[in-house]
This record gives sequence, structure tokens and C-alpha cells, in this order.
Amino acid sequence: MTGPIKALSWEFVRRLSLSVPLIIPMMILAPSGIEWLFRIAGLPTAGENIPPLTWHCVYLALGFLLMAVPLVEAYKGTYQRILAYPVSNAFIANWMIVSSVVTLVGQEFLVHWIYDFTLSDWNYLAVFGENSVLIGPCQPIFAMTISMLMAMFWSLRHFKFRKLLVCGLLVNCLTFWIGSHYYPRGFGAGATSWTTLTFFDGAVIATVIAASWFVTWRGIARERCGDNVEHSFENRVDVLTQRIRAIVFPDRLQDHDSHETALAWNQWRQTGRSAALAGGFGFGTLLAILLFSVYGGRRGPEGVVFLLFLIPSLVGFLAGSVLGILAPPSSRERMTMFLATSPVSDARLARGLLRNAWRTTMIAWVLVIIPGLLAIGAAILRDGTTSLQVQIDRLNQTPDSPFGVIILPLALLGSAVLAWMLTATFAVLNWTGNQWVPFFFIVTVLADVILIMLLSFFLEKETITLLRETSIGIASFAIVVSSAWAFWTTFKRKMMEPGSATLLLSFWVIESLACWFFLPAAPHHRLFVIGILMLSVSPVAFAPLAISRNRHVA
Amino acid sequence: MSESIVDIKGISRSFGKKVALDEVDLSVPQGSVVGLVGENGAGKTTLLKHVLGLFKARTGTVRVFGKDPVTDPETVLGEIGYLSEVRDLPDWMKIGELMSYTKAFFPSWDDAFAEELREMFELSLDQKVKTLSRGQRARAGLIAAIAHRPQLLVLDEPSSGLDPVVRRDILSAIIRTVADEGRTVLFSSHLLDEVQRVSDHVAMLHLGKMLLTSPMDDVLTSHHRLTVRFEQPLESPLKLDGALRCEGEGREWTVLCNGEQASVEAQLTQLNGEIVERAAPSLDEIFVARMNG
Amino acid sequence: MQIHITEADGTPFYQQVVNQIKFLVASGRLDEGEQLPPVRRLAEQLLVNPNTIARAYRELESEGVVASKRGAGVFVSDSGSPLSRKEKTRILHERIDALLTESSQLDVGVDSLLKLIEQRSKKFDSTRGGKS
Repeated sequence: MTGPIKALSWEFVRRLSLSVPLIIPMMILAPSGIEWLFRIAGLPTAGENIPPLTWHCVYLALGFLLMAVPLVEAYKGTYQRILAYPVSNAFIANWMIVSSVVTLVGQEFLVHWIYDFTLSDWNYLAVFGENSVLIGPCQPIFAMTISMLMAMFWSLRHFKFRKLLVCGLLVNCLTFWIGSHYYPRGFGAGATSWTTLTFFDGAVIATVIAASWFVTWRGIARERCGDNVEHSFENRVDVLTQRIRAIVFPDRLQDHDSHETALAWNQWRQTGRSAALAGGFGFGTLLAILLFSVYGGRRGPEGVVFLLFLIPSLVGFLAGSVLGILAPPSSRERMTMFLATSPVSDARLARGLLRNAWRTTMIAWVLVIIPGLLAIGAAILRDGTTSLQVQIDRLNQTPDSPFGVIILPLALLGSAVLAWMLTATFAVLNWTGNQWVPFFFIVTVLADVILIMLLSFFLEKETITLLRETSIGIASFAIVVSSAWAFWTTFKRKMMEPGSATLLLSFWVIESLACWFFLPAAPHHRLFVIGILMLSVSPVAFAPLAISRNRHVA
Repeated sequence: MSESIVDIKGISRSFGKKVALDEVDLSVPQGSVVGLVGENGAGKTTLLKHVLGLFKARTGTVRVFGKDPVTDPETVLGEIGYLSEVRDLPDWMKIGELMSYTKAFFPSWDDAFAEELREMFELSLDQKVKTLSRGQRARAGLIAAIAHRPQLLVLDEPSSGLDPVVRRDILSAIIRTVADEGRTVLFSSHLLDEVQRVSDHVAMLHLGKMLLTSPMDDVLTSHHRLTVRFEQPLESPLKLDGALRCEGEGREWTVLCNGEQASVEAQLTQLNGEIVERAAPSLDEIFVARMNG
Repeated sequence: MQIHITEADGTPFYQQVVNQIKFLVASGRLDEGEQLPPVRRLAEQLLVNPNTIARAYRELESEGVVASKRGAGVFVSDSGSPLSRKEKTRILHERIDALLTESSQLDVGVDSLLKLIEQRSKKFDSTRGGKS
């Protein structure tokens, strides 16, 4: 039996060789990153203000997902071959559960161990310090969760909607069970550490692992004899959506009026709908987590800023990344031949794509903003307007937060612009067809941010401020210059009508004027913002250039 | 027959150190079927992508219908029907959706013809591309490529990996296209019997260089295959001036030559060889001789 | 009309079509005045380039085997018979040449070959006579 074990382990290790070395530093740096985000947002970071245990739960949950996804992906790529090996079903089940548990638990242990060593001077000491014994049961919990995930993966390959329901129920039960250990006095009251593993706890964990093993084993047996082929998730969803579509749109096979509507339809079906829904859904979930933590910590105003500003920006980033990927995964770096051979000019193609990006962003934005407003409404209902009033007063007085109460409407408006800016920018970067372009963009920004963050431990506060402002100033200037170049080139290559260029630039001028007169910030800060706002119009000029570059390889 | 639909002059391209095209010229006369042959990686796809404007010519010029396909994709691509080996049709589209989508781009789309093809290929309107087999996918791609009756049909390895029935469909689509007055086909293929059947011009690419471009009949009649028998088994491999390829061992050898039949035969007689058979080689044999010889 | 073309030997396709139609005419399988299929249909049937068929028809027309009537199509010409005699000899010459080449390779002289032909011919007649 050592032969197959050796072969399988080798393949497994090779598949994870890229993700594990990436995830461990990410897990170690993430808390520091969040803390730093708080600092630049002007929010207090002192230990008392942020309930450490809550953050730790969020951190652990996200960290678990981060680590578990590549694990499941690793199996997805290999199981077809594994199933063809001359080994028993039980052997495969054993191997899958053991290897994933060992990897995940090892990874988790390593992260905490390194974290405790290197960064134990930081604020997050409370989380991993001597007072906290979270690390103790963390490993058994991770072992339990990954085996459950594995079981779900195999069980759902023979897809039934009621199975999904049962899985959801089980996940909720387990979450509640884990949560109740951190909140023994009810979820409203403060959290405490989970110190010891009782015999009952051990029994629950062991039972879940055993049951997961059984389900995995059954799933593998089914997969091996080909029972799952017809019952795949895609097939089931296809059948269901077809049934629903047949009811909602009976016999809907419409002709397109022009190639523009056809292109819009193609793009919308392909990326738009999924990007908008994924954006909305993903951040609805994040919203729930934030509400749970932020409102629980009585930090309403900061919560509002978070909701209205940071989330749409994340949506924008995500939507932009999704929309930018025009090619299927096999040839991600280039536009698909199907699209590239459409008999339309580069400018028209770019216009169609941008239009879709716009529609998607706005839908995602609404999807995020509406639950956000609802959440604020719920908070008002719970605490009454007086508490909100108190919070607004506090915002006005907080020295860390320079914007005051005007941040609320500004954030709402700004978030729409920001979401669009990020979507369009990332989409255009991706449309260049060169993966390295968006990669270098992100790396440059991140490197700058991390560098300044690291330097802030050694340098004076004034120097850091100067450094930060210089880098933002350079970025802003670079944006204006490159946008001007883009407008000029597109205009020269007759990819843009003079009317559109005028319209776009005047929109930017209006934005700039609004910024200059209404933004409560220092003059040079306002100038920076005006420069960056150029990104809200310049993608229209960049897009045809990017599409042209992608479509006709020089 | 005189006017060139595709006119390529002196294009070169390399990817890193690998030379894909080296000073390639190609001219496709109106109403002809040009078969582009060459080994894997000889640069066939790269050449066809230049025709479609998906590669911008670094050196030389590309003209399709007298226009540059890079700067004028609207007019050029509007008159081209394209089918590739990859057949990257969107997975999620249904056949009906694919047809109405493609139709929106081509004013000359012929609904009746498209419907006729669809019925002939036994594709139903609400089948998704994802669920189609390779052959069905090729057929769906074929509908999208020819239902607008393009002036120029560009096919990149259309029949690789397909069963004989689907290959037949593709060949008859090519024939239908040229049988319509004045339409032109440019296609690349590994299957030389196919090329020999349907094309009237052949262009042979080898390691990025255009070895020959001539009418098919000229190619076939200018090549000769001689079978020779020697009185004594040859010690060393046979080498002749003007022969493309000499193959065999011992007493019997096969010699493939181009044009210079007389001089090759004279050389053989000098070596005391008796020519036992003279025959015309197939395109396949010519290809192998040109590539390995 | 059944024509089979092959890419195995390098004879150009139009030549194969020409030869086979001549053979069909000579052997009487195509009657005088019979219409040949249109270029396009024959091209689709044989899966060859229509230009090939058109060239074959032109060749046949210039040799007088077929005649095209404007708008009506291509027909086997009435004056087919003298040509078909010539054609018969041509076809037989071809076969005899091949036979001679092979017999010389097998070291069989012309005399013994003639004897063999006579023997076979008797046997051939007897089986044929028995059948009909």
C-alpha cells in the first residue's frame, strides 16, 4: 500500500505547493492589515474597542475558508485519476480525509506558532496571548470542519436540493454549537474563551468525523460506478432553471435588433448577471458579519462608513475582476476567438463591454446598499434615533475622523462612484489581455501600502504622513497624465466621438467642482481626490485601447 | 480568377525564440479553395489569425478584400465565416441563441439556409453547446460560419479529431461555398487526402517558411515517384541530386523527385539501377517527402 | 452515374473523372444523349472541388465526348461511337502495358504470355457460356 500512498501524496503536495506558501503569510499578515486599515480610516484600534474574540472568530472562519478551498480544489483536479488506481473505496476515503485534516491542522498550527513568535508585540496579542486558549480546541474543530466539507463535496456530487438544505442545516447547527462555547451566556453577552475540551465535545467532534468518513466513502463508491454523472450540480441547476425559465419566459427566443444588443446580451449572460449576483450575495454575507460585530460593539457610525464605502469598493474590485475575464480559463490571457472574430470595430466592442460593466456595477451597488440601509434602519428601530444622534454627534467630535457628519451622504454618493471606478479600472486592466498588467497594478499599490505600513514602525509620524501623501500625490498625477494620453490616443485613432470626449471631461469637471467645494479636507487632499476621480471617466478612453491591444496582438 | 481576396506579403512573427512565420507570402485568388498544409506548429494557425486580424503584422502587409483586417474589422470580419479546431463557442448558449446571436452581426444571414443546415445536422434549438459532442459542436460552429454566405470561408483545422460523417459535412460545406459564384475558401488541415480532394491550390508551410504555393494539379503532375531496383544491395543510403526523398534498403528503393525526372533517371542508370515503376505520388507522399527529405 | 475517385495514386482528380466518364461511355453504361449531372451536384457527391469537375467536363467537351447545351446541361455527344472505339483501344493499351511490365518483371516472355492469354480466354468463355 505504500506505492499508492506515495504516488497520491506526491501529487497532493505538488498541487498545494503554490497555495500553502501563499496562504500562511497571508494568514499571518491579515490581522495586521485589518488593524492598519482601521488606522487609515481614522478608527480607534485600542483593544477595548474591538472585541478581540469576535474578530478572532471572523478571522478563523475566513482563514478556514482560505485554507480549505485549495484543499478541495486539489481533490477536484485529481480524483478522476485516483479513482482509476487499483485501490479500495475505503482507502481513498481514508487518504482524502487524513491528508486534508493533516494539512489543514498543520497549516493552522504553523500560522499561530509563527504569529506568536514574530508579531506578539502587536495589538492582537490579546487574541493569541497567554490569556487565550483558543488555539487548544481550534485544531480539532478545523479537523472536524474539513472532514465535513469533504463529505459535503462528495455527497453533493450526487446533487439533490434537499441534500443542500440538510447540509445548510448541519452547518448552522455546528456553527451554533461552536459559537455557544464562545458565548456561554448567550450571543448578546460578551464572549469568553473556550478553555477546555470536555468529554462531550470530544464525542461530538469524533462523531462528525466518523459520519463524514462514511459519507465520503459512500460518495466515492457512487462516483466510481458512474452514478453521479447525471446527478451533477450543474445538471440539476440546469434542469431547475430551465423549468423556471419555461414558466416565466415561455418560448423566449428573441431576435436581436442589432449587433449591439446581441453583444450586450452575450456579455450580460456571461459575466454581468453572475458578477452582480455574486457581488450582492457575497457582500450581503459579509454585511451580516459586520453588523454582528460592529453593531454588537456599539460602533454605529464606523459601521455606516464601512457599509457605504468600503464594501462597494470591494464589490467594484470583485466585479471588475470578474468582468475583465473575457476568456475561458484555458486561455485566460487572451480574448476568446468567438468574441474576437465578431465583425465589430474595437471601439464598439469596448463600448458594449463597458456598458455591461456599468449595468453590473450599478446592480451590485444597489444589492449592497439596500441591505445596508435596511441594517441602519433596523439599528434605529432597536435603539431609536437618539442613539444615532449620539453617534453622529460623536462623529462630529471624533478628532480621528476629519469628515464629520457630512461623511454619510458623501459616502453614499462616493461609494457609487468608487464602485464604478474600481470596476471599470480593473476591467480595463484585464481587457489588455495580459495577466501581468492587473497583477503589477495590484502589487505596486500593495507594495506601496505595505512599505509605508512597515516604515510607520520606525519613522516619525510626520515623515510617514509626508510619505503617504507624496505617494498618493504621485499616483493621482500619474492617473491624470495617463488619462490625458488615453483620451488623446483614442481621439486620434478615431475610436471616440468628439462629443463623447467633451461629455466625459465635463462630467469630470463637475465632479471636481463638487469635490473642491463640498469635500471637507485640506486643499491638497482635495486635489488628490480630483486627480483620482479622473478614473471615473478615463476607462471609457482606456477600454478601446485595451481591447485593441488584446484583439490584435502586435 | 485574377483578383486576390487575401493578399499577404512578407509577414514574419516569432514567439520568443520560436519562429512561427518567416517572410511568408500568400495570395488567395477569388473563387478558389486554398489548402494550407504543414506540420503541427508550422505556423498555420498564426497565419490564419493574421488573416482575421487577430495578429497585427509586424513586418509586411495583410490585405483581405483589399482592406487591413486590423484597422477595419467591421467590414473584413463581416464577410468572413470562420471555424476553428478549438470551436470556442460559449458553453452556455443554446443552438437557437447562438443562431440568433450570430445573425445579429451579419446582415446577409440566410434564415432558411441556417434552418436547413440545422435540420440536416439534427441539432435542436434548445440544446446547449455544453451538452454537444465534438462533432455536433463542429456542426454548430459550421452553421454560425456559413449561414451568412460569407465571401471568404476561413477554416483552421476544421476536421481534426472528428468522425468521418462530420468531416464529410465540413467538406461539403466547403464545396457548397465555392460552388456559389465567386466565393473563396482558405483552410488548413493535416488531412492531406481532404486537401487533395477539395482544394485547387495548395500552400505548404514548414517551420514558418512557405515551401510552395501552386495550383494543386501542378503540384501533383510535377512530382514523380520512381521505384528502382539495383543489381547489388546498396551499402550506403541512396543520395541523388534533385531528389526530394530516397527511401528503402538493400536492392529496392523509392525516389521522389520534383520536375527533374530526367536528371534523376540519368543518375540512377549510372548507378546501374533499373527503374521498375514510374508513378504519380499523392499529396500525402509529397508532403512527407518535403518535410523529412 | 457512379464514379469513384481515389487520392491513393497521384493522378489528378479531373483526369480520373475524365477517364472514368470515357470508360462509362465506351462501355455503354452512358448512352448517347444522356445527361451528365450538373457540376455542383457531382462535386458534392464526390466531395471534390467543383472546379475539378468543371475542368473534367471542359476536357471531355474539347475531346468531343460530351457537348453542353446552353442552359440545359451537359450531354453525351451523339458522335460518341467512333471516339469510343478509339477510347476502347486506349483503355486496353493501358492495361496491356501494365501486364507487359509485370510479366517482364516476373521473367515471363511475350510468347508464354500470349499462350496464357489464350488459355484464360477459353476458360473465361466456358464459364460465361455456362452462365448465360
